[in-house]
Amino acid sequence: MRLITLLFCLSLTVANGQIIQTGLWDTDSSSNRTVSLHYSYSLGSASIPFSAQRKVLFDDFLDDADKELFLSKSQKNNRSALNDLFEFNYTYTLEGAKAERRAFGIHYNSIRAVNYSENTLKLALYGNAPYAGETLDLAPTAWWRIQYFELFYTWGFDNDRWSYNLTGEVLIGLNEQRFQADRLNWFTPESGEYIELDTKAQGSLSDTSASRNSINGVGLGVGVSGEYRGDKWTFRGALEDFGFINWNNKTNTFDVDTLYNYEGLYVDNLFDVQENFFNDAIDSLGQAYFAGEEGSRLGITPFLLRGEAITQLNSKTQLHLGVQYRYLIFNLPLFYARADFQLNENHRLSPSVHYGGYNRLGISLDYGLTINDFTALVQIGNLNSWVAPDLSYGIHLGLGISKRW
Amino acid sequence: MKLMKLLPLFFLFGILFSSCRNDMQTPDWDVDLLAPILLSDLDIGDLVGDSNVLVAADSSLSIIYRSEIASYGVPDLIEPFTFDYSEFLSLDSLELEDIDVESSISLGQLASDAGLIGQIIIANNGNTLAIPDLGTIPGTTNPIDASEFFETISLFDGTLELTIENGLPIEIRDFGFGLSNSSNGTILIQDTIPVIAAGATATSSSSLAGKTIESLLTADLYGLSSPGSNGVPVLIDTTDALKITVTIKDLQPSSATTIWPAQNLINDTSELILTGSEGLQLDFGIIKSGTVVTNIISTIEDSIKFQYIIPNSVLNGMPFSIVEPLPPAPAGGVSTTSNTYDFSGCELDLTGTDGTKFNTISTITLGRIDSTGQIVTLSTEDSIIVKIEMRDLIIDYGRGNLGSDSVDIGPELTTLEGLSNIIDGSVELAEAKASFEIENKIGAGAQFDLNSIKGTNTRTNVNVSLDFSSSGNSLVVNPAAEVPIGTIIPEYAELELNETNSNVAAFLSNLPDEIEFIGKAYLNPNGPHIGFMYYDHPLRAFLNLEVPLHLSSTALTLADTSDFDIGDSDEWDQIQGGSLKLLAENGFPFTAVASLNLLDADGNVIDQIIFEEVISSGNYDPLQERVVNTVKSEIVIPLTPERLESIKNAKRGSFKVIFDTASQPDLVKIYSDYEMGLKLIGDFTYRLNN
Repeated sequence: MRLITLLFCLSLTVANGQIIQTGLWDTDSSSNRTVSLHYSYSLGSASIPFSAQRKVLFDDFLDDADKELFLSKSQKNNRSALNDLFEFNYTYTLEGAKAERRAFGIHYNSIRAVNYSENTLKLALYGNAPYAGETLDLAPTAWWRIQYFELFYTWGFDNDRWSYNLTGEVLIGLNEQRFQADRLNWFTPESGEYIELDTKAQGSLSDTSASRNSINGVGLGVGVSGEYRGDKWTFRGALEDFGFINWNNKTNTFDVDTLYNYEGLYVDNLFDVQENFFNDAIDSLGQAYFAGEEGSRLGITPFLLRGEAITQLNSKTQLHLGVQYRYLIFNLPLFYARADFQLNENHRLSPSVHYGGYNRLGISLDYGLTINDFTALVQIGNLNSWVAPDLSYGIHLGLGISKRW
Repeated sequence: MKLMKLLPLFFLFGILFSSCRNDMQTPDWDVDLLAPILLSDLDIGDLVGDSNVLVAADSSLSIIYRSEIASYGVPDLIEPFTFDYSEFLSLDSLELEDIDVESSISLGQLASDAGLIGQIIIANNGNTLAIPDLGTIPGTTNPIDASEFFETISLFDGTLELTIENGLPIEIRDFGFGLSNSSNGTILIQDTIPVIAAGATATSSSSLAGKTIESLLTADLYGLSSPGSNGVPVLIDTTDALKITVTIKDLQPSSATTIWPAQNLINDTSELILTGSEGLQLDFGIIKSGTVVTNIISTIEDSIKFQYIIPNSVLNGMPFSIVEPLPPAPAGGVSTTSNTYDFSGCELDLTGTDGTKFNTISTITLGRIDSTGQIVTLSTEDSIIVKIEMRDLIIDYGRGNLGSDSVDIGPELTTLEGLSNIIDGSVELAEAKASFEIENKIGAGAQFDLNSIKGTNTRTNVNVSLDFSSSGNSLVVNPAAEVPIGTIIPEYAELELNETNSNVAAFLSNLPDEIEFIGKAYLNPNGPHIGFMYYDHPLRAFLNLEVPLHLSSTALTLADTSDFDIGDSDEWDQIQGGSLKLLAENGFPFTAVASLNLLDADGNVIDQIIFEEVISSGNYDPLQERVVNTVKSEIVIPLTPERLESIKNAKRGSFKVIFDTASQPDLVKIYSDYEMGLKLIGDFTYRLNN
């Protein structure tokens, strides 16, 4: 029962992120109330080795060797992402109700994902001058950033073999940026007289005039999960964070299919410079490219789809086999195998091996410490990144605490 | 803002990396950028001013210089008007309302002093009785309290009137009475009325000149007698009475402590004459700007409402009127108020109070107290000092007889913009011409005499005067009309100067950048004229110069200084080296040799970033007499650390361009489609950072 409790707490504190996720499909009928706080940070890439990511995290300057490191594993299609997640959950039981298990709370989700070509990476690292006279094919290139709050309420139902959860969510959008280029060819002549961009792209920017943390959209979301407990195996499936946010009428949406030729910022008198023309030139390029229509936009959230099979290997060991996919964030579905070792009454270790997501192969370890009714959780994902940084592609760190009654 | 945004894709990648550490520092890295930064073009309009260029049917260009060389209008005819009005006003007349104080003596009171007969009368109250002779009844003394009306009143003049209304059923004889101030016994009235028949009224009055009346008075009844009812039975009612009314009237107080009725203390009508407008006889005007300043000092211990009115004026739909309340002065002190009022836009009838004058403003000054119901002390020694100042009144519009006048104009100096930037070289021109033009927006005729127009090339100090000997030197222009009022229909006159009637070609080939004009203007040279004038629409004289751009130039040097201040820009700090390239695409039929210096705030040269770099001429086809192809030239500006520092510190840029058509065979025409494209290209290593 303690293991189930721990799992349930864990599931509530790790509902998102680049990690093997559990979630509300875990059921716990042993405690009346649980309150938990959790923060997690995930960084991953399908093609930038962790040794290069580490440069971003800890170095002050990227030299040519570092740039080569960035490019060493690049492919035609590269995806990287970063999640910042903060969660507060409160669960309780309602005796005699049809849905006895209940939960509510607030989640803050900040998810950034970018997909880029090798040429894009070269352009970013070296600039356009080395490629003057060449046409650089930068497609596919895409970017999605979304920040929103999720206020949820969950009803949990149980019978002998089945448990299932229904969740309703009110979504409060802070900002969203989307960019998707299907065609993106860059050309700079050797004279530098102009920059030519042959592009077909779509995107949107939520209200940029508002302050960083203002509310720019509202929406609704749902989540469903179910569990079947067989004699030897338990099976789970879930769709979570599925919702739509209506971004307000100051959202800029653009859809361009054009050959754009930028020749510089026009000024009446080249010799009469009264302010920093760099900024003006940059702004003029951005305004031309990103000029779109202003109006409200209905956008989908990056929902999570997943399934898992669990079996009890012995009294202290449980095995989880699963797959999960985060819409438009993961490069590949994340496949994993995890073992939960309940070392004694207070300590639990959960090593796992996984493949996919926006990383490649990874080994992770979760540690849980339970004292009295408090449980602290430390998660260190992709341990292999610290051991073999040139062959690994991401990290995950998580901290959480919960108390149950 | 990062330069990374210059490239949208950099933007994407940058956000990802900057996101990785959120608010922490991300690493820097260098990128080599090659990108256009600024784009501009230079046509002939940029050199001589767009408004100066005239395009002919064949697209060839002429430069038109239109310079105002003189003007004559309201500022020359009417000086700003300032007027001071100051008056010391003493209260030589105060008004007080009549005061009535009533009292009575009843039959019962009289009977009680009449012995046994009196007791019989009292005993028969309500019965009919023949009242016998009462004999002499002794006098009595009664106080009268008038403090609800006043405390003291000192009078230059006034009348005290005592009215006795006999409401008794018997005749009264030898009614002796007096009225005196209770405090000092000063007798205000003393008299004896021989007979007052039953039901009759008798009156006695006395002068109060020079007397002071106090609110506590003593009324003395010295005595009276009565023959009774002469045997006729009468109804006895002991409440029947002698009704005595004391009336103080026709008061001319020298001072009083009393409740003062509402009254005008000052009522002064006067006229102001607009000075500085001699020669004009205006009967209407509108003020362009000016203020009215009031300063009022009062010793009066009551609230004063001060009002200054210009009855024959309109401001915001109403006559100009200032109303200022002045609080009561403290005892022995003064009360003051001072305010400033905007007089702009006020429309003034300038015909004075009786409507027959000119340049005259009629004004009314009022000082008034409103009855407050409070007892206050006023004296004819109290005073009000009123100061009213009209400051710097400028007439925006005037109408009337504008008279006749003449004024010497000049020497007036005018700079020819465009040509003033030419600092060296020579030019050979064809088909130059000029004209002298008068634009009259005043409702008066005028004559302009041109005594001298001298053009000076201040770089060479050579001057050439226009020769009017063949063209004449005088222009006459008719009065402008105003139909309807407010809409001016100007009149024009023009004197054309060309190569046959003047030396205009020599005048222009000198490339003058400064014109000196001396002349004389006559207003209504044929005699006074009823008309109008606006401050902003004077009589103006222009010199028009038309220079067809059919020329050859030798080392024609154009120089100018303009702002060059990139402000506090971090971007320049991120440039690690490289260059800026100035790409010039020349469509003009002349070569240009360009130099650009950067100057500090004091005008000192801190860097010479372009030095005599040659921009090649466009390809000129002598057969078509046109440039048929543009030619590109590139000027490279290395960005050394010292150069970058200079660019950041620069406040001004001084450029010099030398134009030369020496490579062309003959005079060349400049066409409207000629231009020089300029592009600034960055080719440098840029450090991306937070």
